[in-house]
Amino acid sequence: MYYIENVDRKLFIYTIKDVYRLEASMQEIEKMTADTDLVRISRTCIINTDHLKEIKQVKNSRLEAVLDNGEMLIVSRKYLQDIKKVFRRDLS
Amino acid sequence: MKKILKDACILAALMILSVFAISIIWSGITDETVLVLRLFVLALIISSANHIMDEYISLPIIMIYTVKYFTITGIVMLFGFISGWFYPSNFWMAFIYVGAVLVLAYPIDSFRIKKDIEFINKQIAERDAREAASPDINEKDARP
Repeated sequence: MYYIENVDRKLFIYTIKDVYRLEASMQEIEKMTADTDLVRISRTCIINTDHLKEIKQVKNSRLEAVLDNGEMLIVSRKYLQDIKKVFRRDLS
Repeated sequence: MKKILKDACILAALMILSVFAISIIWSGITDETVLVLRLFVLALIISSANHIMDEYISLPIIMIYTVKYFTITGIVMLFGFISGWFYPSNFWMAFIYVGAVLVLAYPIDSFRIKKDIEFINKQIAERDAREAASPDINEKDARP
């Protein structure tokens, strides 16, 4: 799974081949995925860090997460600490 | 160092609140206690506004700071007028107070973001290197 996105209050899971509709809220998914490699990167998106290729800062402004399938997703600065936590946990 | 400073600020805030709470019990509400309580209320309002802006606004960092500058200045002005801190002739001082804080916060925030990105990208690179070094276990294919 690459990421979960909230589009008009509907959640979608994006996998390698397909897109699935999910009957849940972002908060519920966030609770379910606590202490996993899934992490929230913006108000509308939760990514699987296993597929994260890099975080880019575009011209000292907007932040983007580049996935290993080439997709780019906007990252809110507020959630950078949460992404760091996932990698810190993997270290320990 | 950052954590020590953060903890020191929280401790200072708690000490101020405790001292003034005891002061209210002993000598009632004075001008000083009103000022401190108002500052805490203002800090709460600004923190809430900051949280909402971070959550709902996705803009380049300069734009976000511009939006925050005018929003927080507006809040300080409104709160200042209600509290009687500003006179009609010196309300523009709010722009200077808020500007001074944001001028300090902007480079610190930019530096922190840069360091966070470097840390994350370094961890990703190390993870990828580990995976490349053990080709028998193709972890990516086994991932959910």
